[in-house]
Amino acid sequence: MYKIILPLRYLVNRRISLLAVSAVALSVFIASVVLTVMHGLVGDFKEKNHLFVGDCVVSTPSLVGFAYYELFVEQLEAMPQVAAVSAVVKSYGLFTMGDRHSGGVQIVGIDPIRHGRATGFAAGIHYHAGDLASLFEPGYDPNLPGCVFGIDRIFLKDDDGAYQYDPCVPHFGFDITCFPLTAKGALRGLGSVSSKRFYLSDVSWSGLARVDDHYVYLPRAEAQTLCGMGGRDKRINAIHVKFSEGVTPEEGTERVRDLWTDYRENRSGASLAYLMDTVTVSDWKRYRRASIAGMEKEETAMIILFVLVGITTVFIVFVVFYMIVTHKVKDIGILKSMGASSLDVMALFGGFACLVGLCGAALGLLGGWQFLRRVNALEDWLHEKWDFQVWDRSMFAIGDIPHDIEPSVMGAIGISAIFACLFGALLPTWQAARLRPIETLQANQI
Amino acid sequence: MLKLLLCSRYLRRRKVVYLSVAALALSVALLIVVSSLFTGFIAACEQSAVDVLGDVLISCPVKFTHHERLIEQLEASDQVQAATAVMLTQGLLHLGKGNVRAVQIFGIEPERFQKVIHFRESLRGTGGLASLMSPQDSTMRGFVSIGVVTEPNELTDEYDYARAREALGLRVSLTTGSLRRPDTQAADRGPVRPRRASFQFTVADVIRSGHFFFDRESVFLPLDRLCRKLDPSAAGTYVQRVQIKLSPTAERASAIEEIESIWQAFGESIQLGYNIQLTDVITAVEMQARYVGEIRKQMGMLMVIFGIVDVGVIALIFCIFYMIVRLKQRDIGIIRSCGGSAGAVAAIFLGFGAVVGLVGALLGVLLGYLFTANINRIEAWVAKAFGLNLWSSSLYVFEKIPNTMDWGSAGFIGLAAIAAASVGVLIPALLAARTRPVEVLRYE
Repeated sequence: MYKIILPLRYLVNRRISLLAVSAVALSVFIASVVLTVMHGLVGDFKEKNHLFVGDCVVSTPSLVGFAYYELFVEQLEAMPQVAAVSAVVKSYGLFTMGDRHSGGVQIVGIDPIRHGRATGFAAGIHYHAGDLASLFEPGYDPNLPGCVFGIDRIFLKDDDGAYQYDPCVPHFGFDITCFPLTAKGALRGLGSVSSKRFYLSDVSWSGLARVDDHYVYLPRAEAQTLCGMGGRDKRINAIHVKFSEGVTPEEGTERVRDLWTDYRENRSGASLAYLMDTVTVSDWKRYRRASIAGMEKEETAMIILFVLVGITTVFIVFVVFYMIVTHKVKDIGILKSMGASSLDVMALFGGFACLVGLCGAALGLLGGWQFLRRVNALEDWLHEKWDFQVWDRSMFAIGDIPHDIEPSVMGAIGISAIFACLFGALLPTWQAARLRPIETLQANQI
Repeated sequence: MLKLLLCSRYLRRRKVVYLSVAALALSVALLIVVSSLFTGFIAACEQSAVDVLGDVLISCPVKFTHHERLIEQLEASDQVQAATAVMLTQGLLHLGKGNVRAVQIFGIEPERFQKVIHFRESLRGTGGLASLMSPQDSTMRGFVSIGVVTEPNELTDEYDYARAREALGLRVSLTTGSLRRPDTQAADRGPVRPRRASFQFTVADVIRSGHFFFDRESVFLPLDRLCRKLDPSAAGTYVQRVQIKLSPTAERASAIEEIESIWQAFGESIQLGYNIQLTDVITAVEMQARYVGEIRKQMGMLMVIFGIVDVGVIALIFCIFYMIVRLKQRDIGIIRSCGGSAGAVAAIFLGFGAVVGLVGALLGVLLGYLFTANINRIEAWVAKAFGLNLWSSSLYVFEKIPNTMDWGSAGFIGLAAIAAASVGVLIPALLAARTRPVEVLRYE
């Protein structure tokens, strides 16, 4: 019983222990706020990447692409694990608009309905929302060949990060120019450059800066013609796959990989089979790892920094416990003389450390939760009053400050705080356990 | 003397004080490293802009001719050391089977360009940019940036120089998008007609500037030959940018003013019309201002966050000194009974706190310096030992982590640490000062 009563008494009566609780609470508060925001940003970025590519991608890094994809797409669609499939052409090109605007673009040839089903593409379309069948028909003249540009090429953002859309799709014409490549990867003769004028039919938003600034979507057949991938053995560069409900990307990707291995073996005798040598099957995380890894590293670096900062909290707990043990030698001596073992004394101070950690973590997490609930309102107020934003929304593709409480993050921080307290209290607790009653209860000390 | 003696004794005997020194040093080092990394990154951003663009840019929305005259007028000014005209366009580079890259094409005047731009490293570098020149009847020569021919290693972030050298002498094909010959004299410029050009050139050298995006997709070609390829009917060369290096004695604001007036007069002489006003005359550093401003903001927020957490250090120092004061009651009593005033007692502990702050701050600065100066070695070691590449140029633009110590911030952080230590020790010092000898020295 005394193992419960004494820690509570120490916590209430020894005001110095409240300092340890406060230090823990402050560290937990800051860590919970910063890591929740960071975790939210990373999670949001990952989700955007996931939506952008679907669950799994069968792709080749070569711009030449690979052939014989039609039958493989049919086989994929027949799989119970697969919900949707989209074959895509990817290449580089140039766009020019009059003599003022020109630039390099990533050309993506798609079937809009299929691509909308396999990825999150449909959700980012503005003027043809819910009507992907007519995506490449410009509203001002449906007979013109249409194209969809990444939104950052067409519209500007305001201070709040909202795009300033025109009421109708702007009447812009773009000359899209590509290198047509033969199946062997050679250029189809110097000067053989494909070029065609397309008219803006819509804009696409993915929330990924490079995509929204560099991508132009064309009808797949048009892209294949421009890139020299049409003809008898049509070629593509990637197949995006979405799995059915309940199928994890890892499981589904494994099945698709098996199917692709069999398919490739069956086609090994075909004239363009060599193009399949560079094809890989990846789940979305692996496919986009170059983009995602940076954010994950920054999150890791932030955690490491907070671990370093947390060392101070461990020191505070150590000093507070050292003081308490120094002042409570008589209590310890009496307890031991009444039969309490060294382990009991350790349990007593260990429990006290847990209590300090628990109270500090609870207070810090509560404060963090309340702060996160109001963080966007606070930022709005700061923006209105002082023109301060945490991120300039016209520069960064970030909406609200992430504030959703992630139980795993909060739990990890809380548990870390308790362990930090136990660690900080370890040495004083050990010293307390080693005290001998005869030394602590000597009359000349009274 | 007594104060110094006691301070040094407490510092040596009370080992718990080392904890506060360690915590303080750790906090100071952390803040200095964060501040130095951010400041170094900002400085690198600004310097790299100057390295690849020059000090000042004149960026016109349309291409213009007779730029030689503008260059002459600019170079006649005391404020300008050198100036060069640049033509910019986008293109697709075919390097081999299936290997097509989107590139940024720079049409340059090699000799002048060399006077304005400072490339940190060129792989061969023997002939400098002048080696771009070739006889008019031979194949055009061009430079490509290193990222066009080889990717940096995912783990080490190093380019494959052997592969880059293999590209030397390679004949590659380039196509550019529509371009229209500028006819700034004509009132009616007629309908815009797209134009396209495809041609070959030989890779004469591979350039590395140390700026990832510049190194990723740049192609340099002689301005005169590029213009002729793009528009064989054009009489001369045409550009849309002039890059300027200011003389060492130039005063930035007045230099910009003078350059603007030279540009105004030149624009009027070739009838550029409203494009004169639409032209930006801006320093390379100002071009980065918005981005740099955001980085500074992130740095400020990070410093505030860590600063708040470091309030814990004050609490730690308070705890330690409170404990020392409680344990040294008899010492205090003796000092007071020997005639020491309350102020003298408080001064002992305040001095002790300041010494702790000073030692902690000095150690922190040293630690911060060692970490910052060796950060690239540490990063390389982490990559080698754990296979974890913390820094990559594709993500952070530069190949090396900026490792310059920000001494200004270090000084400020160090002083703040001493102040924090003094604040932490204030209450225990006051408690010590209020101690009455009769209470602590009585023997029952």
